[in-house]
Amino acid sequence: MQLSFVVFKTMKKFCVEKTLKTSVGSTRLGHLELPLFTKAEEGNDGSSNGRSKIDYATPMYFLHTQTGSIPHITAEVLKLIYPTASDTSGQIPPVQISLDATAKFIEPLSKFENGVGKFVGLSEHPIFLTIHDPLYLLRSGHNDKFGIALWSRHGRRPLSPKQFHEAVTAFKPSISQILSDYDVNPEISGMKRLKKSLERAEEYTSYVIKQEETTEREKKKNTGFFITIEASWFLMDEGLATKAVLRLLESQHQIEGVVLAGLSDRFVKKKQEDEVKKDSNGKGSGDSERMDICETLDIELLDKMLQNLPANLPKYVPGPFKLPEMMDLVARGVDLFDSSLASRMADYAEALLLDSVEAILPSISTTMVAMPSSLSEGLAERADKAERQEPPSNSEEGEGAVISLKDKKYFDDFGPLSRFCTCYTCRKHTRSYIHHLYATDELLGPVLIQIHNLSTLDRFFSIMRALVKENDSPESLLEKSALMRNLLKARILIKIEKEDKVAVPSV
Amino acid sequence: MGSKSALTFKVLAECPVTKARASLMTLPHGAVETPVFMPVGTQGSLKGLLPEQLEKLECKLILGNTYHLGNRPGTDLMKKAGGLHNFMHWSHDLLTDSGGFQMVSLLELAEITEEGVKFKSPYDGSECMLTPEHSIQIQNTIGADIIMQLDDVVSSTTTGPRVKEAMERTIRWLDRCMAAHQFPEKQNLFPIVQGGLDPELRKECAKELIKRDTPGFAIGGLSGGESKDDFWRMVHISTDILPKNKPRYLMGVGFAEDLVVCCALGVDMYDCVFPTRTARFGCALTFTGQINLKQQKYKEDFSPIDPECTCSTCTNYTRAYLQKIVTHETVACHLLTVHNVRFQMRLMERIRSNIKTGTFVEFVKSFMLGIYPDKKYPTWSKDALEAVGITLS
Repeated sequence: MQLSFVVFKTMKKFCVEKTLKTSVGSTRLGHLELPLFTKAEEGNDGSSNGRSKIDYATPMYFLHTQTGSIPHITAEVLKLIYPTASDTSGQIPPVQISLDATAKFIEPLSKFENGVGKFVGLSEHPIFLTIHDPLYLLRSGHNDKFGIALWSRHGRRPLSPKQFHEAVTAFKPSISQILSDYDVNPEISGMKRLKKSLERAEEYTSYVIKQEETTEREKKKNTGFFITIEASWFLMDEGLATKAVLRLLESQHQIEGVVLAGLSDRFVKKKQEDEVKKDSNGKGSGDSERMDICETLDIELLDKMLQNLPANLPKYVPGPFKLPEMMDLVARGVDLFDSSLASRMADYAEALLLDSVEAILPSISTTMVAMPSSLSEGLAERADKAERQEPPSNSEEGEGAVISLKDKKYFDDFGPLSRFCTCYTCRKHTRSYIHHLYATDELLGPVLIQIHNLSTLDRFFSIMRALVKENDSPESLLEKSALMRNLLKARILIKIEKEDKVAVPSV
Repeated sequence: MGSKSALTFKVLAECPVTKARASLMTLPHGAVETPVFMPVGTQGSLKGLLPEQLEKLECKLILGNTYHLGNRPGTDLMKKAGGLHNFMHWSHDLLTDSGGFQMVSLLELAEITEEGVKFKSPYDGSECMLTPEHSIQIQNTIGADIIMQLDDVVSSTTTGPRVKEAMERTIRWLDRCMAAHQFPEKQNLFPIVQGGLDPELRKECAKELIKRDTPGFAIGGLSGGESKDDFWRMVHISTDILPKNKPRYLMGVGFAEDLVVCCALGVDMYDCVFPTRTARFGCALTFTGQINLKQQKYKEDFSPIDPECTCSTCTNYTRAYLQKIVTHETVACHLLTVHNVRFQMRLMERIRSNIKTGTFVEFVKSFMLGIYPDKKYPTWSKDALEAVGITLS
């Protein structure tokens, strides 16, 4: 551990620790070092703003925010989810903030001088400034020679490369995505539109890099930049797209990562439209601008996008992918994700369960310690006070990787969300209580679900990293990944016998 | 204390000038210093805050609403869960109201008879009846440390024979509540002084109630649209009669100025939805009044809501950021709720410590000057304070 730390200090901010080539792709473990912006104390030598650095093991996720806040989670509550850096995963995730919803911060932040992290109450987390909220659907039009359009609940706001540069200067993020002309739709755009988008990608990137080179000397901001490559480019013309990406990467020593954009948008848009038409379960029109959870992933498209990317750059795929799809992305070498899945699930009262994986953890990982399969102390005590009853028959059949707490069957279920989870919510609150909170529209419901889901996502990434770390043959990695993936995919949890014998489903 | 009481009340200090007192009220789930403000957690949670956050705010006594909890999740589940403390994982004290007030104010078709409150179920339209016995039965199941009698509530602006009828019926219903109460050794039943805005009726009611050996008393039927002038006089009359060795609870009062004045009049407990409700609209409470964070003037204000406040909102967030998210993000609602609850707790702390150090009168004067720097004090507060020996000049 010590050794790898020393090695990567002398390298770029990202280093690959281990790569395992399998039949599906290059799966890897890495380290991403992110500087944390802190304003210099008065009286320093004028080299001003200091930055301490935090080392993150990848694959990992950024905390998804809306208007700068993790949905439902205040800074105070966040500390209950990640109490110290020495908890299970050993790392407190950095934060992703999108410019679309926070463009209005540019003005105050240019006077604030402490950076966006401090402004939104998350000063202990490095910030990744992205252009779009991974949950907000983009609209077509208004990307022109002056810049791109940002969409938020405030409506449209134009963003030129110059304004983007000003935003980065004011926000002082650890890393930032470079703006991209995303408005290419294979169904309606012509080749001319595609070429424009590709040209602009180059223009924007070289403008931003040039601007940063000149300002950096004065202000020492040390923001790292991620270029954006659009899925739609590859859908329209793989050859042109590949050439453009290679040109973008020519300025590689300045580029610190890649955002693979549009893998989630495409699928969700259509589904969302259908859903709005159906107007099924009372989802308002405002909700139609938010993305649904991604059930599918276009692997072929992903492979095309990944093909020419250098191994030494970290790759981020934004969006609310389900856990099996995140596993597919990890298997192909994607390093960075966000917690938009958890944000979306809180809306639906859905809780992530890793129970099926935890129940057979020793057959997946040799180093991860299984969470105790019992009611945690507080709950056990309260279960004594609560009227003793047989566990509800439905939970004996087992549950899938997701349960909806709106379901009436949890009305009198005094168990924790997950029997294997030791998060704050599972230590203190019951399914019955959470069901009640959602039934009465109390704000605490989404808070408790979000606490649990973020904790579970954290656990998921720890298991994923352990999986890659422990397996040295492609076959064993694939076999164990497939086992875990199937468990997460299964609609119904395999019945766990008292002796903990588990029958693995074939999917 | 009566042998069947689950409450002890020890007066720690009395203001030598006013009727204010600082006391220690010990309930089954812990001791609470009074005067105390109780935030309202209507349906078994306090507006998005975790029990642990409330503890950090030094809030040890909160209120739940019987009417709402009786509907959802209902008494069957409450029983299975082992009561509300257990259900919501709250280890400190709870108080529940009788459900009558909600019924009369929320349900248009409620009709009051000697038997109880008759109403149409908002769920299936069937005829239902909330009797004093039924209210106590639900409150026994919920298991709060303090429970309230079902009272005959009339609007505070009602006049005529109906006020007298309601006052007398409230006394009759108290007797039925006391008879129905199953757990006097672990739940404290408080009667409620009624009598509208009629001083004689108030006196009569209070005198009648104190004949019963109850662990504490509430003053009800106020804060419902009557003039402030009437309001303080009714409180004043009631606290004159209620015994000094038992807690007095003024229902539905929570504005800072009202709390300070009513403490001077000798009230010990308060509840109100105001601090948490106003948070949802982007308003933050401070010692110099309420500020609306939606206003453009906070756009580049990088100070906390209150630099002297130690709540997690004031230590982590600026007014400028709150201005960007209030009324849009649920996080903003949580942040302002935390601050506003903390503000209420700080105000009560100041009141208590000033009573204890004998500086309450000076505190009241400086507090009033803080909210009225131009000294244009409202007549009612001047009169009320004058009545207990404080002259604002």
